[in-house]
Amino acid sequence: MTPKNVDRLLAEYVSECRGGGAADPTRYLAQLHGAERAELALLIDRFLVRQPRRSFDATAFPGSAAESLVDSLDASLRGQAGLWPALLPRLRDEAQLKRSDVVEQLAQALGATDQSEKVARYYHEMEQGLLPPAGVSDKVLDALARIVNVSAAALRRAGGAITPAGASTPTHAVFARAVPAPEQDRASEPRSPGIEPARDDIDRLFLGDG
Amino acid sequence: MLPPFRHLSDLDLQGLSDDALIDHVRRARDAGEFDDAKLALSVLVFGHMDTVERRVRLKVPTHNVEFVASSAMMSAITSAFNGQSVGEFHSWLHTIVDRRIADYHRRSRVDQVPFPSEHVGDASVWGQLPGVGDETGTVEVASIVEELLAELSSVHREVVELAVFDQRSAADISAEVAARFAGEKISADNVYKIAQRFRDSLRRRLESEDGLR
Repeated sequence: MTPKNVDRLLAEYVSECRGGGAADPTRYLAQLHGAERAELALLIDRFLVRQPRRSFDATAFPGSAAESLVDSLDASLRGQAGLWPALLPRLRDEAQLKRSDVVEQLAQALGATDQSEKVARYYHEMEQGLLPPAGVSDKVLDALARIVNVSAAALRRAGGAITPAGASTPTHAVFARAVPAPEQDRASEPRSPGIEPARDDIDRLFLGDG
Repeated sequence: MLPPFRHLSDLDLQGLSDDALIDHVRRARDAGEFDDAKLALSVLVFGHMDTVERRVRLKVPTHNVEFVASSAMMSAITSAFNGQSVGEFHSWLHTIVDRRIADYHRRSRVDQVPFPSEHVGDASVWGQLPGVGDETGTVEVASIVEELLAELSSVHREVVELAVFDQRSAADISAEVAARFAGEKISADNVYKIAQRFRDSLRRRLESEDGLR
């Protein structure tokens, strides 16, 4: 290989990128070794950094990685749990766990296997951004962190990552619930403020002592 | 006092800068106009996602690309949204991409999640390049470019940026330098020579680094 190969591959990559192709850089790098490979990687990287924002394409957006991320961020903006709605499902996917797996392990870690439905409902609310992070105990976050393989501190920080609009004083009464567990898809419905039933240990782990 | 929130179409949004888009997201959210916020986020994320993924793909194994790229994008948007970013969003985003890639190679998975307090002061903690190698060696050698660029005058540096990294034609660059730097004239032939000298220096440094491994 000569330096001309680096130039040729860079020119081909730039052309594919500007032409709207997939432009997977690894396909180009695979053709070189050692210093030349490093040089090409570096030149492609610097080229990419200088690329302007691509125009929005309403036909290419659906089903894209961008759409998935926007959906997550949208849930975070609408909710009051910072980045949890964006982050928790991704961490679960990364750990190759279904939500039911996470719930089962979480209930076990909390010593609440007999209340797994309630744990499921609370975890669902964490993913939906409906549960104020301030009320979620370190015990829950420690257990969840071990399950999805991150640090509890990182989970705590993510929960505070986006200040809810006009929600500097979360209304905990909204999050109080009757003990009987509704089916899971009802968990995202706002609960009626009003009579607040006594909290048991599991409630306190997810809602705080308030 | 801020003017009342105004709905914008996707065409209107395309005409906004990244920073204006983020401001629009913030104002839409504060006005309770979540669909407007989502549309602006879509324009922003779609516009940069491919580039971010390609950059991550250069340095991270395929099965982790989406996670690292999404984490970087989330982190950059969130910190910009919260007013914790520094400078223009475009360069901030790529700074965060560099940090996430460095985190990936340096650390265990433990802290590879967005850092809401991310700001320029974190650079000393999160911005250092790792001492371990990635698949391409890119992470290790990126600072060589900065060192070489620092040795150049501002005009020659611009020529290198445009010719080597932006892959623009020598004639274009010659015209742009004349327009941007008063009194500076660089012929197309000189553009080629400046770019070539830089590439030669870069190659020598890379070969030297490669020989040390």
